Amino acid sequence: MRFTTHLLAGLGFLTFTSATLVHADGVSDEGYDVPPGWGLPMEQHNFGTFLVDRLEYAWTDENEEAVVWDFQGWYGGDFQRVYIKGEGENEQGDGEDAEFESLEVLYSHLIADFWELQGGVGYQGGIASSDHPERTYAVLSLLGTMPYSIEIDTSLRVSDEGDVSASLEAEYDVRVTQRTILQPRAEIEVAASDVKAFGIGEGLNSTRLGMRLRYELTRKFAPYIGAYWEKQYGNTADMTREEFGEVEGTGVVAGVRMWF
Amino acid sequence: MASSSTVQTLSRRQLLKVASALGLSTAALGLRPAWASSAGLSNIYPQGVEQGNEISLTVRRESLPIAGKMGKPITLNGTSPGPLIRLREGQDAVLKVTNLLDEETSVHWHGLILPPEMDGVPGVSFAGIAPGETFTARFPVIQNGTYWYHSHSGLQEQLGHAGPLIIDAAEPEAFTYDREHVLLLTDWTFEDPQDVFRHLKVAEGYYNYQERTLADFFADVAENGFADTVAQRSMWERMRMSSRDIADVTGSTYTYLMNGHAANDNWTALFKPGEKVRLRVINGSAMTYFDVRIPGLKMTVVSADGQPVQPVPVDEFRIAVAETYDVIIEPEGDRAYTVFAESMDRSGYARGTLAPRLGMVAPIPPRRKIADRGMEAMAAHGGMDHSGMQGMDHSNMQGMDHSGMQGMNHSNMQGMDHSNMQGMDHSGMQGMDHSGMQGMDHSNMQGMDYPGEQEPTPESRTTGLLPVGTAQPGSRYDQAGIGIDPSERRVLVYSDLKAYTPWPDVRPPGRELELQLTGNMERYMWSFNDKTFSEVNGPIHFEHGERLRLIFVNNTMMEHPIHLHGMWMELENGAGKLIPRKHTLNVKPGERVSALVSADAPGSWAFHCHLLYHMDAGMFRVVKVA
Repeated sequence: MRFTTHLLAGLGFLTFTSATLVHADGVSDEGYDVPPGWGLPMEQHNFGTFLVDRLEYAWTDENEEAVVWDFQGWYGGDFQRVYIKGEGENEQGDGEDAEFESLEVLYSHLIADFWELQGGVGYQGGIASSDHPERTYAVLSLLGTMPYSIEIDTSLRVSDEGDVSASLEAEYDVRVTQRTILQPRAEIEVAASDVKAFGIGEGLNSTRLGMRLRYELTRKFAPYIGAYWEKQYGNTADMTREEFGEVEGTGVVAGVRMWF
Repeated sequence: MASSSTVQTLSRRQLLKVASALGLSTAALGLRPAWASSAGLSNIYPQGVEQGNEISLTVRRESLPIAGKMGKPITLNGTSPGPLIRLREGQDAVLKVTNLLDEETSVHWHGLILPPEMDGVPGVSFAGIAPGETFTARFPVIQNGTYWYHSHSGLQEQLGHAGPLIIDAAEPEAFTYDREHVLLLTDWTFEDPQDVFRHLKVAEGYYNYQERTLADFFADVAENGFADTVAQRSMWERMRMSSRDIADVTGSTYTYLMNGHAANDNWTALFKPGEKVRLRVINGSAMTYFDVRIPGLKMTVVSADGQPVQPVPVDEFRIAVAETYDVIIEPEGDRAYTVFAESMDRSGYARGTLAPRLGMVAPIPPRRKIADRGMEAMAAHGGMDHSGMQGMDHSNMQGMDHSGMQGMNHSNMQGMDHSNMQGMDHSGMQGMDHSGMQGMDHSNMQGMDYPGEQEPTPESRTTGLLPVGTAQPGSRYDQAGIGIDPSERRVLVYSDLKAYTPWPDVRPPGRELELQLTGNMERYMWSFNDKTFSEVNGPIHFEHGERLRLIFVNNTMMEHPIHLHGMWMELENGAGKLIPRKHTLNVKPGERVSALVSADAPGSWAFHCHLLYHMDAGMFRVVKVA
């Protein structure tokens, strides 16, 4: 709407009744002639928050267990913000340290009422260990809310090797009671080329559908339980099979969502 | 009391606290203020009174019990909300404000007509009052009635930096009464106001525990059928909005106070049966609209925003943030009455008791259920028959396709606002009847093809403006607003307000200035014309001496109480010569409201939405009269 208005201001309006008598904005551009030393009556404030959307323990149908996390923090004003996003896991009992599936720092700009365009850099790999392959990448994201209040985070990534991949995450909140919220969740990953080191194949990599039921003890602290189903496809699935892994699986999770 | 030192004030405050704890009135303690008349005017306001030729206010932050818990409000002369300031019409007011906070403060005398440098808005009227400094406001008092004062610095108002300001009339008023009480309504939170603001910015709906749930959905399905319910809900879902978004900040954090007392404190105002009692009701809240009623009593509204109006007997009135209403009641018998001020979203209430003696109680009515916002708020386009509709707001629609429509009947439409539409395609319409439409505003539309649509009226052909006092098409002055059932009881509406006598300036407006009230709920950005204060680089200009029409078009789904400093706004509610004037106008969602202003006060003035967090988020402008 903001941009619509800007656009329209430049195009001139169709006027019917009294609009011709109305200055388009009612505001001139000469600034405020207040004496030096007076502050502005209203300042724009910066805010920040840090959301741990998922911090959960997962049990898979193959008797594997893992700690999984997914966080997102931001600081800034109405239009410009700095984001940090991270997703990762630590598979239990595999002798390896935790890894970040993604850890990103992004500059974010509000481009429409419900949408932010974000750009930045990311890292994939182990946390302070060489247990996992590593790469860095540039990332472009579109974060926002679709009609029907579906929360979307979609990203396009180009790695330091030039490998291109994309992901889409969608969440939707169903309010069961004032504090109980059921959240279906979907994730899709695609890649433009095979990247063997990361077990990524060209085309559709994987989908993951989940459902979480959280109880907001406070708005900021909500334990939850949930379940998911995931499946790999194409070359990605083939690579997993070569390593004798499963390409389809389910799991249950218990965790907590919190923000500060 | 005139120039009471801080020490005296504190000791009196402690006395008052003890008195209040014992359920005694100030009169019972022999602390009846000097101005109390022999008619037994006492106990008018429990936080004390300051009056005289010179009044001192000391602003500090201190711990005080609120609703049985310790809070840390901003106090004025030791109380929060502050003492009643009582002035007399015709006097020269001298108000000395000493800042003992560790941050800047200010006091704005809300509703008073005074020189711009005395208006108390940092950055607009003056530099603000630095810690340790004293600012003296001096101005001639040229009006009378019920007003209030509050900080205009940051979010201090939320911390209780507010109080009533009463000006006694020089001449006899249009009505008589035997006794008066001030009812100052406020919303208190034990949270830091900065945290409240951050919660609103970060998490939409943070304070709303009355959202629609699955149970509401199934109840609606049972009542209206599956298809209708899904259609209704999906309209809201599509817009990413909540129909239960009535209040941004609710009773989940607020304790609603009447004269600083929570509902359970049972603050009591005394009367003698048979007396005519004037209640001066002030909404000094940061964010809360109240619906006020006294079960068992008719209230006669005699004044709005301090200005006398033709008496209107009502059972209930909605008071927007920053408005004041004076009502006359005539309680009878040896019984108590509950003064019930329910928050608009029904999440809580302030309450007091009117009784012939202390210690009495009357039943507290149950709260109503929260209402869902309807069509008028949702800027949508449902159904094909629009006849008889009023005040539709189609702003923010995009990509509407009306092709292939047939036989649309738009007769009797009023006040459609199609501003900001994009890319409408009306091709292929047949047999549309737009007869009887009035005042459609299609400004800002893009790419519409509507040739020969509207014949200007004879009036608009000459001046282009509606005649003086004409209610704007799209206004809903005959409706009290969301959550009010007019069949339940008689509720005050804006079309009831008629000035007691005509105001002097009867000139027609020379021009119109239209302002869109805009917002982004998700980001908690609030603005005029889609620009927050920090995005504009200059004031709104009024020419000194001009008469102009301000038009507010609410493109949001929230109510906004719009306040102009320094000048009255004469509400064009169809009252003809008896056009009422106000300092704060409530604009309902989707509504189009107009007011005439005589730009007779040179200088810079604040102009803003009086919802505190809306203002601070950017719904603020400077008006420069020159």
